[in-house]
Amino acid sequence: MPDPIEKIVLDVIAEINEELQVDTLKHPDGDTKLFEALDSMAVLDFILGVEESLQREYGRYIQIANEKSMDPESTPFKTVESAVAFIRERVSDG
Amino acid sequence: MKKVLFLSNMIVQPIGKELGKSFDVSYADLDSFVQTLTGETDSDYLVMLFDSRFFFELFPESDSGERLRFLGDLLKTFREKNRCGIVLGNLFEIFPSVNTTQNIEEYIKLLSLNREMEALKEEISDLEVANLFDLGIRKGSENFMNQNNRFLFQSPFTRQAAKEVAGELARAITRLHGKRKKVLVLDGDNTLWGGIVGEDGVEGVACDENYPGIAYKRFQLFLKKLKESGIVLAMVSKNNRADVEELFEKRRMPLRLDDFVTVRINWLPKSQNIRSIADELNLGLESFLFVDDNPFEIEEVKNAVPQVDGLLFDKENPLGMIEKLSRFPGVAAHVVTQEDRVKSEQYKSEKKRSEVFRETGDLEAFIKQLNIEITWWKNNKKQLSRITQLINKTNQFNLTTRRYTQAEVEEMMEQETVLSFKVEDRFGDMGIVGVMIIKECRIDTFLLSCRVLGRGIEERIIDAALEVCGDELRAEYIPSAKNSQVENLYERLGFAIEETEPNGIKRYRFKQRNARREYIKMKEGDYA
Repeated sequence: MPDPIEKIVLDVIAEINEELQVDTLKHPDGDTKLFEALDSMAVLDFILGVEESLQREYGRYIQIANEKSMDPESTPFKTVESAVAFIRERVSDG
Repeated sequence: MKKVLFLSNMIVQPIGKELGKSFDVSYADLDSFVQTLTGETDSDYLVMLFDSRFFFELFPESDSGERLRFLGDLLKTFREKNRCGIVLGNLFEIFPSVNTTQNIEEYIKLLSLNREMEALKEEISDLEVANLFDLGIRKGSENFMNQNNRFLFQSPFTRQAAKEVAGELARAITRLHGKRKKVLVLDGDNTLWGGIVGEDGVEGVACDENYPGIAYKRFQLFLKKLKESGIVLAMVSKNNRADVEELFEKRRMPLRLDDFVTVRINWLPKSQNIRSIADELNLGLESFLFVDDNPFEIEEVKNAVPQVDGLLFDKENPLGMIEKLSRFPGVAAHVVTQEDRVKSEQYKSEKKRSEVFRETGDLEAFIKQLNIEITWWKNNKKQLSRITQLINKTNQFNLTTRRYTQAEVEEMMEQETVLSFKVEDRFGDMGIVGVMIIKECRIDTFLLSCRVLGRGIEERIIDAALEVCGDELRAEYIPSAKNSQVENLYERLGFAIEETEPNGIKRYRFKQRNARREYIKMKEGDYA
């Protein structure tokens, strides 16, 4: 049974990469550098996509965007692994 | 693909991405209202969306109404340089208020702005408003707007809302330039009322204040609104006529039997009835929409008359049918003209004329006793909406079938001659039914609504063109799939062929006035 949060992240990456066609995002794993592969619009797409999927999965709105989202130094979306960990935290924070 | 240019003070790319499935989308710089609206664009549509903060918060020193008027002025400047369609998204907002009174005041302010935006349709040609306010109410503010993303990224719409907004923008574009349906053909049982009148009886069918009757009652009220906006209603029902007549007589329903321009209550295939309605009204089948709860009937009509669109009435969710019907392509209207409001009555007067003609038997005597009077105007901007509407929907009596946007017609009114014609007779006022555009003494466009054909009106109308150009008048006929009936019209009106192209295009020069019916009165209209 795949981890639901990891599945959501990977599904949203696959969806936005249909248009972006970034090589490094074709077969992402935990170490894949996510933030640097996306332009700012794609980051926004990623956030909206994950928020929509989380709402579907957990039946409530879970905010994953914050003031650090777009900051290359402190963004929680640097890698797939850091993104999954951050989102997991947001889900358990309720 | 048509080009759409987004202009906004928000990040609208998630919406543009959705709309990009059907349009070639580009984005003006964020917040560049003045720069973009004072410039030129080669886009087919300009779409403007606002975060309502633009009106309420960002410029506290200026009144929100003033902001909108400022935008309106910019749009007028834009219109002078650009012909593209304009779509404005109206405003949606959630107000933090300390009490209900304050909250209601805030909404009144917002709705006044939305009303002023709507009024821009009268002042600026080819401008349509996308109703995002209504969309937000329907979807619920939490599903529609995300306050965190709004302030973090200037991107207030949720992903689902972005899809919905894109859908409403596409519908606004269709309202602006798409073809509107003319006839809505409705089934009776389980569509206009719940139940089967032949089995449940007149008192047993549902159309009242209780569920499910209330769903049918509301549906009928919506149909009445559609009728008042220019779509005529017809009924095709497999029933005994006496049962249906008794139902309309005895039950107080929003629609009365005479709200339908024509009815077919019999056991014939519905496609056959629809064809006969098209013949009776002299309208093309592609302007028909058929609504029925029975998938078999929808299929039968689809197979026999594929030009007719079908919409299945969902009897499991009758309350949802208003939204389904109102969103069906070609149902909503961009503007409603005076002619639209009285359309059903006009078709009924036409029916009376046909009856008189049948009684009279003699065409000449019939036309004479109609007491026809034609009124014409030159470059009358008050009639812009109706003139544009006719230019874009008339197929049969249309010598060149050139389509123009309202902005283009307005421009021609300033530089060329645009004549419009109203026809009245003893049975009623048919409204503006003819348009002629003359460019340098060449008739570029000549069209008449098919409702007034066969009465010698075209022969008299040409007199107005002769008044403008005299004997220098030239004309052309461009064949289309639908205008063969006017192939030899200019010959009949006294024009001589100068040139015939291999593709059938004919060019003419005016030669002599042929005999015409002088008893059809003709006068120039009032411009006040």
